[in-house]
Amino acid sequence: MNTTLKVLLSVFFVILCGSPIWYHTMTVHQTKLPTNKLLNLSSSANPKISIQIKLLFDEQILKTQNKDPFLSKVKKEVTKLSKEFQQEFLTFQINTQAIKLKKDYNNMNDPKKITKFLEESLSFHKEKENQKEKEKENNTEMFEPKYTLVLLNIPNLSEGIYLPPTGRLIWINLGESTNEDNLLNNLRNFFPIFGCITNTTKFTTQTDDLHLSFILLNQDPRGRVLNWEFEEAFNYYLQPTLEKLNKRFSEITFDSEMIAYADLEHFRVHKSNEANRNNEKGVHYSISKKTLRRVIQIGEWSSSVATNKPVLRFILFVPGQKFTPLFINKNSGKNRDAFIVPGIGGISIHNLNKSETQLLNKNDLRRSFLVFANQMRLFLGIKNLEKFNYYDPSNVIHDIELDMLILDTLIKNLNEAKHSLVSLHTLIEELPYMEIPEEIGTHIQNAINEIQFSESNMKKKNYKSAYFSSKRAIEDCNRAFFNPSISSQLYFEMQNRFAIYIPIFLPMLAPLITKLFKQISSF
Amino acid sequence: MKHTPLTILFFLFFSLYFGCLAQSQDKYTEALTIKKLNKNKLLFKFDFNTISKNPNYQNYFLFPKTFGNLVKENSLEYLRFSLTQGMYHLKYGEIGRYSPPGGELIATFETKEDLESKFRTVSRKISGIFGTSQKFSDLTISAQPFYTEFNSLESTSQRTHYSSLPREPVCTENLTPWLKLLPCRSKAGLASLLNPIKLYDLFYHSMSVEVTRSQENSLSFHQQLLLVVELKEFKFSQIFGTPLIGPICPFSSQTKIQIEGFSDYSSFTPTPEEIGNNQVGFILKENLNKKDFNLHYSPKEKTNNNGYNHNNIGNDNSNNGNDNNNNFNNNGINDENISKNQSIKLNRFLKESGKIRGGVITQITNLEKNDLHLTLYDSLPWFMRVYFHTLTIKSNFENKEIEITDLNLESEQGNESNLFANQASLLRIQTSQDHGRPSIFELALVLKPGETFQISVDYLKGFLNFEEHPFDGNRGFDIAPAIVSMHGKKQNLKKRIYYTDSLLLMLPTPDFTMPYNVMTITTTAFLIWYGSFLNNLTGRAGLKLKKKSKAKWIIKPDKF
Repeated sequence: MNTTLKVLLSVFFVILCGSPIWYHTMTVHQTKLPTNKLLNLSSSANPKISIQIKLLFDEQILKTQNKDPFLSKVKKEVTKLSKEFQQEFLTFQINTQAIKLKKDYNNMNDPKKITKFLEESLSFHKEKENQKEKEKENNTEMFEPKYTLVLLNIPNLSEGIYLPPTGRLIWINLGESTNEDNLLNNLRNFFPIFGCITNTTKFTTQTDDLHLSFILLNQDPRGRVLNWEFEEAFNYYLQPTLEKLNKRFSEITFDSEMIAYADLEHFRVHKSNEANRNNEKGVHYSISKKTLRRVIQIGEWSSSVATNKPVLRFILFVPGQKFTPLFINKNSGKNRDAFIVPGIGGISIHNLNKSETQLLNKNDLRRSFLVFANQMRLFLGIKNLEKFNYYDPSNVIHDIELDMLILDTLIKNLNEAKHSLVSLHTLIEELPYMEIPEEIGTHIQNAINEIQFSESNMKKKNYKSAYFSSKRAIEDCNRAFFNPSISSQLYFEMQNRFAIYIPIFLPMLAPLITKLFKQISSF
Repeated sequence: MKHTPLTILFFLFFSLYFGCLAQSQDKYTEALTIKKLNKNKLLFKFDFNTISKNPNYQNYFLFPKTFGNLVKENSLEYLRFSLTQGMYHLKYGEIGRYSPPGGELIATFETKEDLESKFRTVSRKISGIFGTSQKFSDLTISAQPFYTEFNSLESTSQRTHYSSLPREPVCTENLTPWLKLLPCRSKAGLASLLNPIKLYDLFYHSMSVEVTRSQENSLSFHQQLLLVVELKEFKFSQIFGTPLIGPICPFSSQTKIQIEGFSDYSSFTPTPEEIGNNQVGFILKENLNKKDFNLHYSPKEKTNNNGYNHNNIGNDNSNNGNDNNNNFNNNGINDENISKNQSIKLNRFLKESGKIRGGVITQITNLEKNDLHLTLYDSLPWFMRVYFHTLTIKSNFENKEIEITDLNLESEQGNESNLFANQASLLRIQTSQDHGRPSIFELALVLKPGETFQISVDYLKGFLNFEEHPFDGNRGFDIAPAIVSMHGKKQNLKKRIYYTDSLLLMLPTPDFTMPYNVMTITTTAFLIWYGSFLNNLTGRAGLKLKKKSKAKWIIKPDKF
């Protein structure tokens, strides 16, 4: 045996012995994932949410009609209508009924009083008490999407759909004409309330947990040291809504501060003599719409917040005397005094009147806080609907809207959780050399359990706990998906390994292999 | 609507009422103290004070929200953070609380649980706010002084954490966030004088923030800027680059400039007035914006010295180390480096022999006419492995070693009267852990008038890991100063804190090119192996020995 052969054999012997060791050291720990469960879950559709609507007609409307055939006809039409509005996850159950209201309400023209009257005569209070008792028994707060729609005709009051701030009662005033077409038109306008949550206007990435930061920006405090009765105004205009949201939907915290000497030097402020928003002639100043996007990006305007939650800033900007009154110039020629910056917050300009004192009280702040309230609606993705009469502006989010927000978020959470589980699964399959620690397996298992729990609760119509478990499912999914141990390996693919080994091993192995062939052929 | 006098009165009353209400929530004051120090030094001390009564930690007006959140989330009772450039020597005169060079962070928490993790959070947030590297003040250099009281709060000993980064540079990027914490920023009031370009050109510069939460549920936020310049005459526009032009801060309930220690107030233009409490200066009113306020001081007896001297920065440190060592036996008091009202003199230096061992010597001299009760807190990093048995204290009176009584308090703060029963008592020792905690010793000392104590301790230098060295490892390591605090009835009004000099320690540094050497050697070894291996395979590959040739070895390269 010649030396070359010895060398060759020894090298290949080393390679042969070394390969298993190399393979062993290169294999990564991969936790077994519940693949079957995962795939079953993703292929199964979400359970549907059924919404029960009780349609109540005042007998006064039916006076002119033939009662029974009319009711059945309406029911038929409404079922048709509901199918039109039926979404992927919503089904409707509709009951139609004629009622006789005790008191003559025709002379009333205050929506609040009418709502109160309706609640009393339909014994809504009793129902509420019953529900409270039920909740006490079960020790959880329940909510069922059961709505009562009452059709009235009050000639003194304008026609339209009236949405009381609390409770699940809605009433429609048909006005003077109680004919079939008008009735169906109104019902057609009513159904969009079940799709009031939109994606297009949702400015925040995550609506669940938020921190609201309210800032009083005083451009020039010289001679007008300003303070605001923030707590009073907040408690009056926003606190009820926040409480409602915190109780049922999410965790929202807030704080406030004052920043002085916020300069406008970054904006082009135009001076003009045109009529301002109130059609009063006189000098006013305006910022063009184009420069607005720079507003909150300027470090001076935004302040630090000690929280990990997404932050929404609501800024009350008081322009200095030099720039009062200040408006935002829209292209359409109309002047506005508030705007929204997606994902960051909203700004409302407060032009000080001469009569206003150094302290902005609850009444001075009314306009701005209602603007903030509306901006908050936008951030949560709640749409203002046509023909709807939101007659109580102090209540930012109505019960029915909140119901829809919760149901919508529940469905979105479930879809998102399922989607991210599936994409995680495909990712793991595509990258067989990726390490999967035990942690990820546990998170995935937890997420699957939560999804299943949420779906079973949906079937039981316990939407509240379904919602909260869907929230936990999302959290678990995110923890699995963004686990630092896998995200670092996402970019280390098989090609990279070749890129590392080839430059050294190929030139080394080439002479060895060719020599081996030569040796074999020489025998 | 016609305004009758009654309605006008009514409005006036209401605006006054609400105006008062608006300011009663938080109170903010501004003050500038100009003080004459020894050796042609002048002190400019800016104090910005915000007091918030009954804060709810949710709605902030003048109190900065960032610090409100910090106090609430970490249940802080006291926080002091300072950034300093230059060393302040006591020979220039006493200026109250001052700071050692670099960054210093002191935090007192409500409880002693989780102290270290809370301190870590606080130091990270502080680094974030001021753009400093305070977050590196981890447990290897920070510790708890048990017997030094940094604030007027009660029994803070076990709840206070302290860290000092003597090498932290101070820059305008630290000043900008500091100014942003002021209600008027640098746009109005005394802060409009603070021009970053001029400020860092001075002899000593120290800015600090101090938050105190008192028992009466009020929060106080104190921002202080100390500037020491070397001048005989001055003008605002000369020091700060601008006179006081801007309006006074409208949120400030009092804006005053106070002048201290000058013999001739008539040399000032405008001439200062009595402002109450036996103080002389100016109370600035809102009508300031009509005329620039450019305070000018030129003493009547002029000397040739032009005053302002850029080259003096940092040159005044000549008296550390050996100079003072020679003074040790001379009673220390006749030293020319001592000012009139100075009550204590501090020196600290290294005693080095080679790159292995060394010693730290701290000298404390009592310049008062009565006994001084002092505690000394000395924290040395782990790479100075302290031999505690070498801890000795010498007095210049008897010129012999003083016996150190071990009080063995076991981390319980003893009664203060017990602390000073002996001339020197050892209160606490913490041994160091490599790459872990520092070594600490705390002493209680009683010094007679004119007495000098020389406290010395030896150490062995440790080896740092390769990556633990800074980029300029050969420059040396800055060692934070020891803290001396005064106790006793005489100083009952305010417990004073003094800092010794900071030290520069040279450690054995490795050859930083080492990894490249290792790489070169490894590659060479690999090349030798692979070269011979390749030679073996290819070199003889086509080797054919011609039978009848004379030469034994003719190598014919194969087609290969």
